Amino acid sequence: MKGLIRKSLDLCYGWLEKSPLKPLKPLLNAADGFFFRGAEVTEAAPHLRDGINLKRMFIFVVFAAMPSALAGIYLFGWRALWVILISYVVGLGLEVVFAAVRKEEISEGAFVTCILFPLTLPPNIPLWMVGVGIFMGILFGKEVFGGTGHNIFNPALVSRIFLYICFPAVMTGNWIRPMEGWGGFIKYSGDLLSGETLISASLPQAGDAVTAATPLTDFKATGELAPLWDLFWGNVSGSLGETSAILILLGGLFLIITRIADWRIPLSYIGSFVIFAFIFHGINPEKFAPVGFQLLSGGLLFGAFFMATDPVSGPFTKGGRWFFGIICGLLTVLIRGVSGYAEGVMFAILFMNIFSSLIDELVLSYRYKEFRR
Amino acid sequence: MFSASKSMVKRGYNFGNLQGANFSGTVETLPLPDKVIIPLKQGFSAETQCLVKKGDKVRRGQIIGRDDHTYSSPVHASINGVVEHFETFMEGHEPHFGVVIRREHGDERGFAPIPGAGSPDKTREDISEILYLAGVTALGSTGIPSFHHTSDIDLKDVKALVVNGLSAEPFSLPRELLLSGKIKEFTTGLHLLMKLFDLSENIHVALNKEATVVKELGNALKKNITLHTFENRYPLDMDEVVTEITTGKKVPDGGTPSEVGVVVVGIEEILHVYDAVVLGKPLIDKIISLGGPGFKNNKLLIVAVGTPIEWAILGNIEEGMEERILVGGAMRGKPVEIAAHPVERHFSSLTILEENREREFLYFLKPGFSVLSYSREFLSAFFKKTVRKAQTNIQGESRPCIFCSYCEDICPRRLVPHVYSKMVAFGLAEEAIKYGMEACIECGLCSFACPSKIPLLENIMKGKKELEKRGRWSHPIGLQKLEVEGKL
Repeated sequence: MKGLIRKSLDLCYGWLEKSPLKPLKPLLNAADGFFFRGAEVTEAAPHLRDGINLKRMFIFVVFAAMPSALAGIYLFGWRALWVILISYVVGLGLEVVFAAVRKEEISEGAFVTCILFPLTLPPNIPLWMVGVGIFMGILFGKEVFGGTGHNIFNPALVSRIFLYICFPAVMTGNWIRPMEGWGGFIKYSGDLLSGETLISASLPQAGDAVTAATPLTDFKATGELAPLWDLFWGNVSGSLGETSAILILLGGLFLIITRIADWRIPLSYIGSFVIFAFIFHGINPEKFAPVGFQLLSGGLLFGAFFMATDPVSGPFTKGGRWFFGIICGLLTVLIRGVSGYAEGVMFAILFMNIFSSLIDELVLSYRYKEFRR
Repeated sequence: MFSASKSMVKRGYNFGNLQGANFSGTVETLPLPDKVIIPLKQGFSAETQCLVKKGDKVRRGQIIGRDDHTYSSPVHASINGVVEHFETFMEGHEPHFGVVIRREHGDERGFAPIPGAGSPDKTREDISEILYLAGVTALGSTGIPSFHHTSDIDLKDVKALVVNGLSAEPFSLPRELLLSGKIKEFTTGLHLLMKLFDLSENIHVALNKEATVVKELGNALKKNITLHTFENRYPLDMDEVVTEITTGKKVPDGGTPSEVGVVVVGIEEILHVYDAVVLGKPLIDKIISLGGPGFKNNKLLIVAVGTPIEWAILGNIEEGMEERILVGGAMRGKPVEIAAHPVERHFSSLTILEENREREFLYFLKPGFSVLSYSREFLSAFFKKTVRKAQTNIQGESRPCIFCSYCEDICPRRLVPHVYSKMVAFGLAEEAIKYGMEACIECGLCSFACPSKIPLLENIMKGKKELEKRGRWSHPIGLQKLEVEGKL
């Protein structure tokens, strides 16, 4: 197996040297690097290097998102698989093109973006739209800034906000009734809940909020609350990967244990969210839903564990991370409660991404004030 | 000055159970080599005047290089033999001169004793003279002060003495092992140094918490000596850091402990003090540790000073591998370019690592019981006892920084290496000063932990050099400082 791959890679290298497809060398390098670790050794002190590398780090984020992705497939049909696949094909394709143009190596960062983005989409989104979204997100969220490591915004959220603004009807009215039994593993797609259902509030059975739009839009429109138990397990309507709280927690915990995500961000985000939601619910229960319901519904957990923890677009200082999380929590509560949107996680995180560098600069200038006299 | 001493103790990194770092307490003696090369400049010492000519017969322990007018300590012949020739070799960019002595007789261990030595009851002046004649004063990062010119600190300025018994750097000399069965020699040596420095307080001994001799040593030490125990975390064993965590005095950024009146000596150096004063033995034999996975047997070895390194490691290297020989530990060790380079008197360890150029299949998916990692992404993080393998392979691909902040988390000084690295790359080294770049002690943990494989330490050092070029007041240390001050 190993020898075979090695041989075919070497064959490709030889062939590529002569062919007009030479600019695609980064693709081959990436394949080579995927299967075989580099041979490079340290040049100066320290002579040792840690075993970790970005490949493993990013693949582990994909692993962490796997439970949520599987839940999306189970609850909303294996059409979700196509959504994810298209995201990967378009996203990685763009990455290859840019690597070829810039004559750089392909960065593994796109692997993460391409799994996180589809998980934030409504299940019944037209497939072409997925491609457009990830294309715009990777292009304007990342590549124009110089690729992985240089972006200001979380590229997965840039993709989503692009679709959200361009196709608001699709992004807010394409929900599917979650499936049961064998569910999506054998069924292509679920029953569509049309946009009209949402607006005209024809909640068929009173009290059975699950049958209508997403729990949050439901609350916004009717004040109806989905049962917490369903929210926890995930059999409610919503975006592909955001419905099951337990599976998101599982993935998030994995990220924290492996030290890929800093625990400070989810903790401060969710903590401040709970506190502010509690306060505002006390002030105005009409507009602000109860804490438990808000905590488990919508994209809060997914955003706190997978989106806000993106190290590139968030602050890197410890103090900055606390501050970032706290303000994100506050903004989410406010946007959900006061604005015209039912959901506020994406806006909160993108908004705070703008200030990441500023927050870091403030923290650092305080920490190193002794050096500035 | 940046005060980080309180948190310093808890910072740093424990490398855990490394392959090639298990030394037994027994010490072997290496047979004397056929010839030795004695550099005329060894340790904290300027080059000494050569006192022998080609063809001269020399005795083991005889002084062959001495210069009372510069900051230096005498050097000795370490075998009985004949001066064969003189050799010039390069150390870095500086030429050094060495006396090559061919052995005449067998494995003779007798030596010419230091005049006046032989008992622990000596006056301050006597101790100073004996240590100088024995060459012991050249030990330590900035020498041991005496009435001669041997250190960048004057005897009267010594405010505190710190004995460094820590060895957290991978494959550095396991100092606590030297103490087993030698407690009495150690305390005697320590008291001799206290007498020399005229200190009755502010004496600190730092030792690994898990060392077996902690209790025994604690009982043996007098009340005026403070015994500190620390976890085995790198870089607590660096001289600057050990000064800070024991005395509470912050060493100026980029400076040496001597600037705050502290002399730091290792346990092995205290034992050499004992040997010199009580036994009259000059510094001609040195205990070095052979560490690292490249050795067949990891052991402590008594080596005659001047023995070629290749002689000391002969027959002990793992076969069939490309090796990297280092003087010192695996973090800050200096690569040996010529295997014939002599073991100098300030060497304390030799490390051999494998140049691992193997292209491992699907490396990023391996469970990693034996992977050394700061992150918790390998199973080794959850099985603390497993043996980790130290590698020279960078184990990944160079990538742009993703702000994971591992370098910041692992930095013992709470600095932000990735920020400096970027600033230096953009030519903004001055800007990096404002973020504390000059407080970096160059331990190398940032480069070690970086998942993007950025050579952070190299970039920081590049930035410091850049600053020097642009006329920023540089901070010379050791002999360099004496030279700048015009004393040498």
